[in-house]
Amino acid sequence: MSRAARWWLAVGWAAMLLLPWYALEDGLFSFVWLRDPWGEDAAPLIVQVLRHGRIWLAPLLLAFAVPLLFAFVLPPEGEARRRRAAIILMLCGALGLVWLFGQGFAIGARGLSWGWAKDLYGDFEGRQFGLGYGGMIVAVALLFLLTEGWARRGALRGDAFVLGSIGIVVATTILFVFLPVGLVLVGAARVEDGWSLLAVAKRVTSSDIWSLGCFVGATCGTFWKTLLLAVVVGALSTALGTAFALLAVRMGFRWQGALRLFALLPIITPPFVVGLAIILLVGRTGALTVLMDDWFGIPPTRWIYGFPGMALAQTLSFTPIAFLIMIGVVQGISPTMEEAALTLRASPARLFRTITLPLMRPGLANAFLVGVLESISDLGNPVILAGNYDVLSVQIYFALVGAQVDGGRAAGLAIVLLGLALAVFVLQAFWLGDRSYTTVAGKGDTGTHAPLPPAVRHAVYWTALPWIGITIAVYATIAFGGFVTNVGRDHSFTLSHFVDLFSIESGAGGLAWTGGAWKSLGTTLETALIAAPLTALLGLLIAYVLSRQVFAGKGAFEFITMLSFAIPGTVIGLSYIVAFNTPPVELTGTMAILVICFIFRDMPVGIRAGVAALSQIDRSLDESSLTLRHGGFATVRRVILPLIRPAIVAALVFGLVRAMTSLSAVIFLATARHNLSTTYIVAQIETARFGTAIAYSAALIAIMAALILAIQWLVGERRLGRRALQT
Amino acid sequence: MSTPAAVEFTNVSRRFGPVVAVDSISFRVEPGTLVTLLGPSGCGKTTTLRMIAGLEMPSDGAIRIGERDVTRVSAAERDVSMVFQSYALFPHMNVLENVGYGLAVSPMTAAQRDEKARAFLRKVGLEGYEKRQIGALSGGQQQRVALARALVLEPQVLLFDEPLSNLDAKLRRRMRDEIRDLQRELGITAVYVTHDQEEAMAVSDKIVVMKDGHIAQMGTPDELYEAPVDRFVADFIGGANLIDCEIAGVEGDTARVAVGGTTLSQPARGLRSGPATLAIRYAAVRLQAGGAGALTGTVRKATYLGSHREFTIDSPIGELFVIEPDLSNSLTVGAPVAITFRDRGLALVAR
Ligand SMILES: Nc1ncnc2c1ncn2[C@@H]1O[C@H](COP(=O)(O)OP(=O)(O)O)[C@@H](O)[C@H]1O
Ligand SMILES: [Mg+2]
Repeated sequence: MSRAARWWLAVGWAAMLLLPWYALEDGLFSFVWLRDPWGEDAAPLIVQVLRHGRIWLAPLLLAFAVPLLFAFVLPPEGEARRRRAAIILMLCGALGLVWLFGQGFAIGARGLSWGWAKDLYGDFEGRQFGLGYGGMIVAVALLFLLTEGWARRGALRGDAFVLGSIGIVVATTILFVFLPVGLVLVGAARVEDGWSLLAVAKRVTSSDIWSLGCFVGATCGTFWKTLLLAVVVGALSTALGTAFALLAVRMGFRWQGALRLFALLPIITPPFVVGLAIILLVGRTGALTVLMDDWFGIPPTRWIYGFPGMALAQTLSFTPIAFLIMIGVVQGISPTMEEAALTLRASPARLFRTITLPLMRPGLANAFLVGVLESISDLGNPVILAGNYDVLSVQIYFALVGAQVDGGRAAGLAIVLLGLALAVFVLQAFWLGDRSYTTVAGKGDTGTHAPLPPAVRHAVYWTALPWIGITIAVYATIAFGGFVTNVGRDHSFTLSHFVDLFSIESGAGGLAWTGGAWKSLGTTLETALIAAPLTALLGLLIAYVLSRQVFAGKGAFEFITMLSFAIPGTVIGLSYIVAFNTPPVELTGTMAILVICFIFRDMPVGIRAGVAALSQIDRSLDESSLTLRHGGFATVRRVILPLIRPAIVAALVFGLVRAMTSLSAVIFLATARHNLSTTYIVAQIETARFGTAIAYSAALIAIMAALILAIQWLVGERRLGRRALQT
Repeated sequence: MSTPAAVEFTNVSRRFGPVVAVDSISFRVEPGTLVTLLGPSGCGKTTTLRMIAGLEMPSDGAIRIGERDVTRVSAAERDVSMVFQSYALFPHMNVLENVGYGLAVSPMTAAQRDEKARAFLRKVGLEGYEKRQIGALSGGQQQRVALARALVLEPQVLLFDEPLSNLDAKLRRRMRDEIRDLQRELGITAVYVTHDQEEAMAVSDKIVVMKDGHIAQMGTPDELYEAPVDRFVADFIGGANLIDCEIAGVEGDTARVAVGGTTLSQPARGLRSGPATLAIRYAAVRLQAGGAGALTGTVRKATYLGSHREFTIDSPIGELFVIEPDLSNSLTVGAPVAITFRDRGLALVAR
């Protein structure tokens, strides 16, 4: 038996003998449980079986006992027996896992969970709670016994590390993506006294989702409104992103640095902050609105609340993403092709229409679909700007936290939203995915681009420059709005918003963090700093597996790992409440659920960065390490990781930033005890405390910028020059 | 130091989806010998080598290294090291760190590791280069570092995948001699992959000729040259004119072979009467200007190459390519020649 297998056996036994099997009220590290370590709440598995009559846990002991038998009593000699031992190990791991989760779902806090089981075993008395550290660690140990045994049988070149990685990724993705989303689908079937498929059909096809009433004078359904907004935002942001890309690459624009900043700033801006700035500028009491009223007598209205405001805010938020996609596409167009066309006497206009534009078409479609996906997933801007224009994400939100809570309706809406998002994602992944990215390869093409036709140049200037103006106005509002008493009404300088948020008083008992924001900021930083490294780790691990290993089902593996990116945050948030409110995995209200949510939502970014970095490192490097006595893990640590530092930085930064700016999922998961900056700010906006909100937003942006610089400095640049890479 | 071990393949196959890269091959590499896998590109050499290394798992069959069945053992747990075609040196480490890399998992102290790495750098003639970055080395030097890095582990088996293909012709010749000398000196078992027949002949104790995932023939270089089993091996090893002939009869081990009106006596090598192929080495053809005889032809092409001459001859038995070491035999294009064959350099193979 391998060292790793022995180690996991030992870990499993230790957890079963020593650690509390179930989750504890006060957490493991409060050590309150040490007062009564063998009691019903805190006892480890073995005591639960022997003393508390939870006899259904006993088979787990067997799963760890049988491999021991084969390791020490009947040590395997010869190839055949070693293979048999490997199979036994696999079986023990697999059956143990099935049993662990099977019993966990079957027996809950109120006894048997399923009606038919109750009918069968009516007098069953058992009850249990969510898995604690003991249970979780045993689950992990079982998983690795399974993959160890599998590797011993020669799967994946016998590399237990790789197999273990795949195992942990698949298991956690099932647990934290598929299970919750699946339970939402089930949730849509829940009615007062049981389950009904009819209810699903009714909820999913409800007329307030699908109604086409707006063609006959009434209002249309939420689905159509969401789609309309998404299509408009997708088209606008694509057009603007393209204009900026042409400006940056093809028109010798002088302020390249400013363009970069323009592309990067929104990434560290929480999505709803743009919406907030828009309210402060052109809302009913916005600065511009007031000016217009004073100077031209244009009366203030609420036009910004609804479609126009949301379209404006989302276009502002998502144009930079389109820009990043389109700049790759525009750079990827080989000048040679255009030169060839020029020598055939094509005019600039004809050239643009017949060569340049068709070459950009897949990129345009890609940027459009990404914009659509972002728009339908966005919750922050709609929550503060939607007015009477209902979109799906907001409807889900209000179905859960609004005046009348209706979980079934939320689930129905979530299914529709999920379907829409997945349709867009699949379209993007299969129809365009590869094509639009291969053009980004850094080609050594020489030659100069043909000049753009005058009409195109003018169009670019006339869209891009005004838009830059609007962007500047928005960011100026964010930067300075926190320093005035009341934007629009009273522009006298004040620090009171910052004092409210971040005051520290030194009293008798030392420093007192009296500011209102400290608690949420602390939680945000803590969760983000825990989640970011884990996100990067998991993402890069998956990238390693994807780009270096060949195995059956790899395509499906890749697809499911990227899928969580496409699932709208509102759906994830909703599904986490549904799934992790009850045993066996009970996480609601904990910080862990926030961290897990961040990890699985943002991991695809790490995967992309990792795959891109790994594709530049020749496979023979890791293979030679493998033949030099280093296993998969040592190879990753000593060869791969040092060579992909930039990808690590990128993944860390992205993980951090996305955790700190995300709202749509965590708005369901944050609690009074674990409140987050974004949810705190949204609460401020909802109660019209705009000054505090904008001040906090600005502070958050500044903190993120500082953290990014710190990470870059910590992880450092790659230590070798370009030349050194060319072995 | 581990003792050199035998490598044994028993009916090993490797399939990639529908592609059968290696098709049920069996062979044995004796301890301390250097065996070359030789064959055209795509015949499965690299795949075979990677299965010895553990970088590829066989779909079927068993692999033994020494006493141990390693069929399902991962690369890191095999006592094998490999020199890659691209050298695969780690660009973020210097020369010494590269060479010492594999020793890091041994129980040695850092000082012992360094010392051993230095000793092997000396063996490959790179003393004084310890602190150099990899990017600052020439191709030949990188090759030596890769060699030292593999040798320093004193593995049971050392593997080479076309190690010389990135070097220029002159350096190639020198490196192959050095590799052979080191292998002999250390008495290590080595498996060497190449598609270059001359390189294979120069370094090997034995050659395994592969074709389409099969083993076409296995033997010492002169066995393969003197007694190829089929047209493919005859042509691939040393090159030969493949001429259709007829075995008129077989007596004992000797066959009477009718070719283009002449009759020759050749070892039958298991063939029976009937159509066959005569493999005629280029240097086994003798040409005489203007002469008459049983077999005559005309010179179609003549090339002077300094060390020898090459001719292409049109003859009734087909086109013949001839290497003439005798520089004084200056035939001109169009000249009639009499063709005879030397005693060595002919072999009968199945049609
Ligand atoms: N990882 C792989 N996936 C699919 N086909 C492969 C793979 N590796 C090798 N092959 C195929 O197997 C055959 C033998 O390849 P290889 O062993 O590399 O040949 P050689 O080294 O003799 O040139 C080729 O047809 C090649 O295309
Ligand atoms: Mg090869």
